[in-house]
Amino acid sequence: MLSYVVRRVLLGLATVLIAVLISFVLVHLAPGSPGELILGAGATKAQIAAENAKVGWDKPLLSQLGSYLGHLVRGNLGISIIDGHPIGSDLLKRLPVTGLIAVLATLVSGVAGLMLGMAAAVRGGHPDRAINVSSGVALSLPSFWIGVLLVYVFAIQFRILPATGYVSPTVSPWQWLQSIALPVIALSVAATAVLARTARASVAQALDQPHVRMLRSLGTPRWRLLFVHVLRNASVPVVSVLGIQFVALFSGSIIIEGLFALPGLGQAASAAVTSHDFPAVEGVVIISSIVVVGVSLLLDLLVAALDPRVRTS
Amino acid sequence: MRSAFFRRVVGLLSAGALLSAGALLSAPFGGTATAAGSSVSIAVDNDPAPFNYDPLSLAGGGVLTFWQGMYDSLFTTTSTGAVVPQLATSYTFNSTKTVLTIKLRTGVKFSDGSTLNAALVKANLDQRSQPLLGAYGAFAQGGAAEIESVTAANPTTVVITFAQPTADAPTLLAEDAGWIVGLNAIKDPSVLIKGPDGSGAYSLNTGATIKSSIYVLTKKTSSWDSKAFPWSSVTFKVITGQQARANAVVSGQVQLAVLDPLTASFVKQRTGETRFPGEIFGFALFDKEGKFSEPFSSVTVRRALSMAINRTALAKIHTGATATASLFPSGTNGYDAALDKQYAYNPAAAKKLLAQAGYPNGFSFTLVTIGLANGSDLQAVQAMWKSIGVNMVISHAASFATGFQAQSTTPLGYNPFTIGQDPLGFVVGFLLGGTLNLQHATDAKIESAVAVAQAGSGNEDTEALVKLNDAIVNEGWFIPTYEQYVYYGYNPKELKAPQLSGSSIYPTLSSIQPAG
Repeated sequence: MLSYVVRRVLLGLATVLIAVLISFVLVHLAPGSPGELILGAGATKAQIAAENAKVGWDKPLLSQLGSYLGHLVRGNLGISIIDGHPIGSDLLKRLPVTGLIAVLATLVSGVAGLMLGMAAAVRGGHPDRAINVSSGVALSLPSFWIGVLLVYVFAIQFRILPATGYVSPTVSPWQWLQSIALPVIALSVAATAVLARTARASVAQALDQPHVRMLRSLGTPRWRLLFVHVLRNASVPVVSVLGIQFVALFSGSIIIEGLFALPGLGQAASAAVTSHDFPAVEGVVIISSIVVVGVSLLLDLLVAALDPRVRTS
Repeated sequence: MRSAFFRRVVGLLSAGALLSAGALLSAPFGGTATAAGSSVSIAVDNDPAPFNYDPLSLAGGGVLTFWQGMYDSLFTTTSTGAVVPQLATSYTFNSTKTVLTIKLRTGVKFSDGSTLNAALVKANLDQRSQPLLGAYGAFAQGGAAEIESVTAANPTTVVITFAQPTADAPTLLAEDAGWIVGLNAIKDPSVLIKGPDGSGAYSLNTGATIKSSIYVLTKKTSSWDSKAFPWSSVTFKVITGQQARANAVVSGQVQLAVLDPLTASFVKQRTGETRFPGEIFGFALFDKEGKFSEPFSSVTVRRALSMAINRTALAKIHTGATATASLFPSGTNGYDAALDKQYAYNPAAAKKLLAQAGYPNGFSFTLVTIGLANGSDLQAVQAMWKSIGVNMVISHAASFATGFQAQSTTPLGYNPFTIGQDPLGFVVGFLLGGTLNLQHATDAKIESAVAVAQAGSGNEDTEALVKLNDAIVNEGWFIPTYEQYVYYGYNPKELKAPQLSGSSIYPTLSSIQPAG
């Protein structure tokens, strides 16, 4: 198991490094320079060149990359060329917003999807068909549209949940939960549908396994059969899909953050890209890569713990 | 057996989920009290501090309500458009209106501990040639209201000498170019990256602030004018989506929100809405010299574009809008209804003008717009101009900073502009000397009309202002389309109706008062 963990951690680090390299190269291939952005059209070529030199933009690409990686290792993501703020601290303020929403949406969709999938597989008949049809409908609904609908019903008509804004859990845990309730539900609907279908197929397959049939014939209690033997077997593909869903939910937060006016990474990414704030774009890519790779790593380890075949493959 | 077991599990989980949801829904949310002395939340449509916390970095003033919390200005504009002293206590002009003598308030302290005096005001105004301080555009060398010198006659008296008669100087020194920053920020402007250095009634709560999204201001009880502001804290929430802003005020997360006309009735039906006249929509010409798109250097081309706009049809898209070809709004001294006839919709005549200018087959250019708010207007004008052979490619920028940058790389911009009760100030500080003229282009007809108005009685000189309005429209420096109201959503049970400054689309911070 230890060698598996080491292999996965090294692979994760390599993935982050590749993401850093790609974002670094793309940013440097983009037209324009920090000097042009900072000084605007009124600046002369000499002034632009001087400003570029100040931030090291005039040095060879490899030298810039080396310097950038050196700072990165020390946790320094650089300074925004638009507002001069340290990018790392700005993004770290935003990370909990996006991260917690994505994590909660993943958990909600994981639990709900698993329950629905199990219900469909175990009950069969009408519940199975109903869950199958409703998950098909949920899959076809964009999260943005669901968000609009939720806001209209819960915030505008009944005024029982906030339409916009974010309250930090350190200020009020309860208001925090209220502030993220609608974004989390909006993000969770489609993910729940995906997981419900995955769980249904996995549970149905597990129920049909010879050892499960044997345990049933031996009179193993129902709860033990389902939650110990069936669920353990069925959970491997579910956890794998959960990892993919987390990545989708994390990136999907950009649209949801706009709709609910949440001060998360999505807003920062959008602002950085549209204002050509090169270091901020790189910062968003790096932070997002670390989060996505980190969560994927955790889920991979969980899958490995659940299924020994994964560790040895 | 199977069904009974599963029903029990699902039942238990459902009960738990329902209990949690019930508790979640029954608790109050938002929680922003609005009694005097507590806090207020305001939704704005763009980042009020896109670059740093230097109020002079933004030509055109930006979100006035935000800056007024942290900074004071030499003069300030009231909701009636009157310009009154703020950090100044009085002022006098010489007979030729080239020398302005300002008496300063005493006992004003800045965040860095420095105090207001003539030397500090001089040090501020001596930064006027800094290219990054966009608000100073008109005062810089070669600007429309060039300052020749600033002298500290004594600790409370500043003497400003202009290169030419500048009757509108107090207006230009009201907010925008009149903000005064503290001594530390003058010595080291980089301190304004971390936070403001002003003498205003509020300081920035950097811990609670998330740059570009949420700005929290906390009251400084020691401020000289703190009594004018009832709130212990003011939160500005940047909500770029027009429907999200409307939702925020309707559902109570903010007490005041700038609205798009499209969402105004939605808010009015559910809470409260107030509106203010004087906002002119139109195309501002950035590229007067044709550097990025050569056809725009031709006045004939600009006139052709103006004549190819069906303003009546455009105004019909928007509730309450009125078609106009006049830059200065109806009800102001410079308004000229005759321009509507002169630039009446006539695509055939427009096509002839294009041919005269050497573009019989039209031309193509790109226009950058911020957000989607002006999308319907731009699509309509795009079709109108297409009919005379002009292909306008619309490019969307999601941030204020990108839109700002487009002013120096594209020929035209389309936006609402608040001319309000201060048309001369708009022209001198913004159209000639601000971000709308980054090329520092000159136009003899416009400058002559400005000089006449400046030498006379400024915004009171109706005849001079009408001529100035005509000159700007005829030279194509601005192509107006329609006049619209500025809408604000607020809950009348919590707030009194806000008042706009006479020169901004944003309400004055001191006008945001608790109801009752």
